[in-house]
Amino acid sequence: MVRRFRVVLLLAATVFVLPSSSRQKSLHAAATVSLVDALEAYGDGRTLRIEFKTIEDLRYALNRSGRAWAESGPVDDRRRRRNVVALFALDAVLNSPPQGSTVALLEWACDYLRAGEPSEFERTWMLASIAYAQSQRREDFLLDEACGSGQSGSPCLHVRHARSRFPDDRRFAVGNVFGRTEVNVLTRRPVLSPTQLVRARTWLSPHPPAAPSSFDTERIADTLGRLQELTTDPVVGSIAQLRIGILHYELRRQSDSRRVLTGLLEGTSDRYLRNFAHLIMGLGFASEGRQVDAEREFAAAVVADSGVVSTAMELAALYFSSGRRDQGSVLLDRALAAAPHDDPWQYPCPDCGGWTRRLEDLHAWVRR
Amino acid sequence: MGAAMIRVAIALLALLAAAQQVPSFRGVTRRVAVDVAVLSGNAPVPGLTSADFTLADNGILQQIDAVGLAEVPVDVSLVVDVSGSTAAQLETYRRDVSAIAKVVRPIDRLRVIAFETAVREIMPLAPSTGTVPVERLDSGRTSSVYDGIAAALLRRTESGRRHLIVAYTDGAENRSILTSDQIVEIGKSSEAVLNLIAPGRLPFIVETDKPCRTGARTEMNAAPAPPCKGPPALEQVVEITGGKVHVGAEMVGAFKKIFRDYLNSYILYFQPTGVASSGWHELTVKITRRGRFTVHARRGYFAGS
Repeated sequence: MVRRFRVVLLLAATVFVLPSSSRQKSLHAAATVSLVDALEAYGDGRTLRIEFKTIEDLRYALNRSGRAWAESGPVDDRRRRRNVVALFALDAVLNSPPQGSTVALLEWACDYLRAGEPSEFERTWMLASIAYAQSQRREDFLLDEACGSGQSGSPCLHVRHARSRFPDDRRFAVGNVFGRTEVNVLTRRPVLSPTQLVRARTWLSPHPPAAPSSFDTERIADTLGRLQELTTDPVVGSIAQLRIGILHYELRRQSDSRRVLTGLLEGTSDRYLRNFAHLIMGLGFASEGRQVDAEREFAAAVVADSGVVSTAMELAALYFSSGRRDQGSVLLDRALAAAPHDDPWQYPCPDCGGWTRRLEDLHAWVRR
Repeated sequence: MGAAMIRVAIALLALLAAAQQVPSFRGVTRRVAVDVAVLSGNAPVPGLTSADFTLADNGILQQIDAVGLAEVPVDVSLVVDVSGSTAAQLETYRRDVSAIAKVVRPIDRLRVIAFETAVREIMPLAPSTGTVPVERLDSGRTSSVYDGIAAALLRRTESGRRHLIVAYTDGAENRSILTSDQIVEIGKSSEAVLNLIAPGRLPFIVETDKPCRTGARTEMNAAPAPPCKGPPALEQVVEITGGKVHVGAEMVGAFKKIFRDYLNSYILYFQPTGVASSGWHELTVKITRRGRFTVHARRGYFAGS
């Protein structure tokens, strides 16, 4: 709806997070609730609405009242309460308009979490917060080189913090590649030059730079090289391969994109990756006006996961335009009736596969 | 004799060639139904019959049967934009959707779709019971306007029923997988009538992937597009389907008017004759009665495939 500049945070777990039974409980939230009430509600799997004018106000409130609430609890419940505070901050960021201070709030919560021993909650929280920053193309928050010799506590050290806590986790080790802006771009019309890809941050300018700079061309080549090195990694290799395919797609190198994605499809049975790879191949064919090939790929994407709305929508649109209304209608019925799925169009970042599950896990862990 | 036979043969060949050049207008076998709203000023005009209408399919006048829509069961798709700052109005929206569910008649069916970043079916198409699980309405950050509206347009209209879509949105698109071109094409193929309720003034209905509109911004997923020509896609779709844009209106009041006017409109049935059996068919509907009338009817349909 109409975007307003005044920031209003309405803190509720995202609709992708909570089972419907939990969401129903939030219906009769009191009009004015305190931060402590809202934090307490997480323990019962409920969400209460609470408003803050700015992200900074929320950070201040969490630092004062949130901390006090967590540390005043029974000794054996303090860790869960600290997790509640961190998850509250993450939910707030996920429900706020994109803005610079969201990552500062995340880094505040990151610092707070790191005061205790590493846990599975913290690992998942780190993955989710990094995925969010990737989706916002906040490489200033993700890449070591963006930090320079930044002081400890600087937001740009977030991935470094995660690596220090979980040094054996490959998903954090690749943060300096997967955090690059060009690795987190996915557009409907691939007309992007290296410069547009590298310089794209939260918003793409409607007036893109005319010519790519040699610096940006070299950067893209470097990124492709780094991703290529990761393709043999047992944990992140498939994701690296997918991102190479997407980069080629954005650069209008559709043959290269298809070659890489076909290779990926031969080696993975992961339905998120298969759905995503077929979607990109379909979009690539569509960008070349090859509707029959595009339809075949969209159909394969739906076979991989019939509950992903975006791919079902693309295929249904093709069916409709060729007079096959019944088929299109049935496809959408099925996709919209399914439980929420990780939709690669809506959450296209490298670590976004498993996004829905991660947020569900985080909420489950903080329940009493 | 030989020359005469040759002349006859040439004449026959010429006739055959001429016959082959005559455009072949196989009849479009499908019976076509067109929803038509006729207004005098702002009020629907009741009591019209087939004799009061003319309908041309690609310029060819057709034999029509006009039926009042009041007797026909209607499938209503209510599409609600819950993106961005709507979070503050969420309770109002929930009340509005509940109120709208009570407006729909028992013979009708209601479907509720909500969209923000994701598109969700809050209530699948079901006989109207006057209630909607509004607790499932929740707000999100970005706005998939095209996808949300397409989730209603891309549904088939069952035989013997009509499909009315009412979408409540400011039209600020920034997340859909479908492009503005696709939503216009879907509008041409859909049998539904789309009405749009826009809470703000018309300039708020912008195409974010079209830089020529003031205030337009392009989010990453929307991608740059060629400079825009003509009206924004949403307005085009509304017009193509025979609906209207209702600007500056609140949800319940606007819905009541849209629904009342729709029930006071007509369906024109015709079996296309003398026209091509496939492709886009331009429709023109006129009133033969004397007077000043405004006619809202879909601009055409796709035949065959």
